[in-house]
Amino acid sequence: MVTKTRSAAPYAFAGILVGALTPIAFAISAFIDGFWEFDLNMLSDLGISHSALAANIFNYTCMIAGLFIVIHSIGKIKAYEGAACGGAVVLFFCGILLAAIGLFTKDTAYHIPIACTYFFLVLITIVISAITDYRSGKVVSAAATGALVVIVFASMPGFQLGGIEVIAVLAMCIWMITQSLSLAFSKG
Amino acid sequence: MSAMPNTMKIGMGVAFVGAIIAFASMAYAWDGTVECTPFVGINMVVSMVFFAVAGCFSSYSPVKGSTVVVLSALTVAFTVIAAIYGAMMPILAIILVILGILCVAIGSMGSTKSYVDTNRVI
Repeated sequence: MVTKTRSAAPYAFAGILVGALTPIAFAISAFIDGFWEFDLNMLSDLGISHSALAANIFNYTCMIAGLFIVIHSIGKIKAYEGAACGGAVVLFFCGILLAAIGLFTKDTAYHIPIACTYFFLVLITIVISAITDYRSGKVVSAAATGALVVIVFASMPGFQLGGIEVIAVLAMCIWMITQSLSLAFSKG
Repeated sequence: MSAMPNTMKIGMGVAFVGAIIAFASMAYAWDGTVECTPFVGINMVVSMVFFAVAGCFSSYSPVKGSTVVVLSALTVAFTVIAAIYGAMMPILAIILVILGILCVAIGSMGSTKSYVDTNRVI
């Protein structure tokens, strides 16, 4: 009998790309915009920037990152079982919502509900991932997730919503990289 | 009781160095005004968590091996928070993050985990 083994590395690579390139693309967009300020503007303001180039970079980054998150979550759905698989399904919808954030910019009525739902679902999938990682012995991954959640919540008293959003998005990107590494080196 | 692995001693040393640096940063943050109290407090939390991690690497650790890793990750988290709020000098924050990551790495080693789980008192 021939047994085939499939590697989760391509799916993990999609997650690493999202985690590494999204902050760079957002930073480039903010640089081109020129007027965007940390803790004063929301990230979504870049999507309706006066500069068409900055707006395009932000919106297309959201759409492409959403697609890559969907690909990454499919890898997790295939690799994991039980609650971890459930968390990956939630991540799948997060990817779709992130693409929708790029599609429906801040000047449309759909943007705020989509963005709020996205951040809520991300929080759910992060909590599920921390618990399932801890239970399955991936302690470093769970600890990194816990540390990132602590950083985001601890930043809340000192910053306005725009600043907290930026810190949360950076934390999410680091989380995607840790999850991708965990997926790439997962057994089975 | 099995012999204490060297990784435990190194982990304790690294955590103590981190705690002392954070303690020094706490003293530096104090300028005699009430307004500096939050900054002193954040530095104190960093120092306290580093001391807690150092205690976890002792002969009779009070926690599970996996909890040592989580506590070590919390040192990194609180250091980043201190840096974000500007309560700590960036160079000290970078050094403490590196020390925290070292603690995570040492805590996740097989020899450390098995020793802590075998000899813990609770």
